[in-house]
Amino acid sequence: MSHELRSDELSAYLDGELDGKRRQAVESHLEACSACRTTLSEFQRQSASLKNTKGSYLAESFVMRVRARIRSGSDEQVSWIPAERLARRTVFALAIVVAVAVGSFWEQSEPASGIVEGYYQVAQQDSVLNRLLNAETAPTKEDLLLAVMAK
Amino acid sequence: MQRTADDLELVRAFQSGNEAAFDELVRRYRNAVAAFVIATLGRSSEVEDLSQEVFLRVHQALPRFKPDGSFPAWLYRITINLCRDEIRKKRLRRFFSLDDMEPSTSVFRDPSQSSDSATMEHEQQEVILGALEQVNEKYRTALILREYEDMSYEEIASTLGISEQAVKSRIFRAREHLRELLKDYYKERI
Repeated sequence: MSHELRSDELSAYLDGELDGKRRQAVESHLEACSACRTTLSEFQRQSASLKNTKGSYLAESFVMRVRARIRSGSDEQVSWIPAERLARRTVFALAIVVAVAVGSFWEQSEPASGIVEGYYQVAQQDSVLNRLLNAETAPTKEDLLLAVMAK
Repeated sequence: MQRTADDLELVRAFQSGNEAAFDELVRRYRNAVAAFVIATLGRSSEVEDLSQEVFLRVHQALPRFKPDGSFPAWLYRITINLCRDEIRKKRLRRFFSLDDMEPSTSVFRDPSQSSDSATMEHEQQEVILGALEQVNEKYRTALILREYEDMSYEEIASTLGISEQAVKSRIFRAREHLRELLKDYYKERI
């Protein structure tokens, strides 16, 4: 469609969605334009075909099956979780577990490193081993035993 | 869309405790809902389950429905949301390879037609529905509401929460795409 006619006007014309003035404009254009007449006739054919696909798919007994599901469905409704929601919930739960695990590890690792540092400080200043290594006299059996126990 | 007044009476009756009024709504709209599901997702054995699911949701939400609105528009919003959920679930399953691309099968046939007389028509329906599945979902939904329910652009706009101009544009785009897809098919049949 060249032209003075907007591309979606034919479709709206087919649906009866144009006001009087625009409808008249489309009709006069159609008289002069065979391409638009062809397009309109293809749209009409397509519309008829589509309407034809709307058949009777579900029998009357469908109503009873819906009714049966409503009666027994409240438990089913509660337990039924769509796959996507389940996936989201799983990811969310995992994220919380990881966050909690990282948090608790962090909490534990802080004082642990403090203890180690403290140990080395004490060991350098006051440990039996240190005293043993710095001793000027030869260590006795008791000194060695104390060093092993302290270690 | 001519039954709206009656529909609203049924809705009010249901809200006053008359369960039989709900059955009547199911009776009226079961095929419209199934047709919409088929046009959106293709023919499959899930159509009955999904249609049931739509009416279960309707049953749950109907007590809160305000009878000053359009019942079909509201019903279709529920159906559209369910179909979108289903499309997302299928994509997710496909992504995780839980199942292969489910081809549209022909388990649903119009029970009122004998297999002999319906063959040609059934084949045509399959071609049309197959083409419709390839149309962008947004455009397709607007076109289905127009063709199946004879909804006006204003009603479609209200159902989908978009402007009338957007409805006009979507329907046109759906028709253009379908025209392109069905060009050869129609040529063969001339």
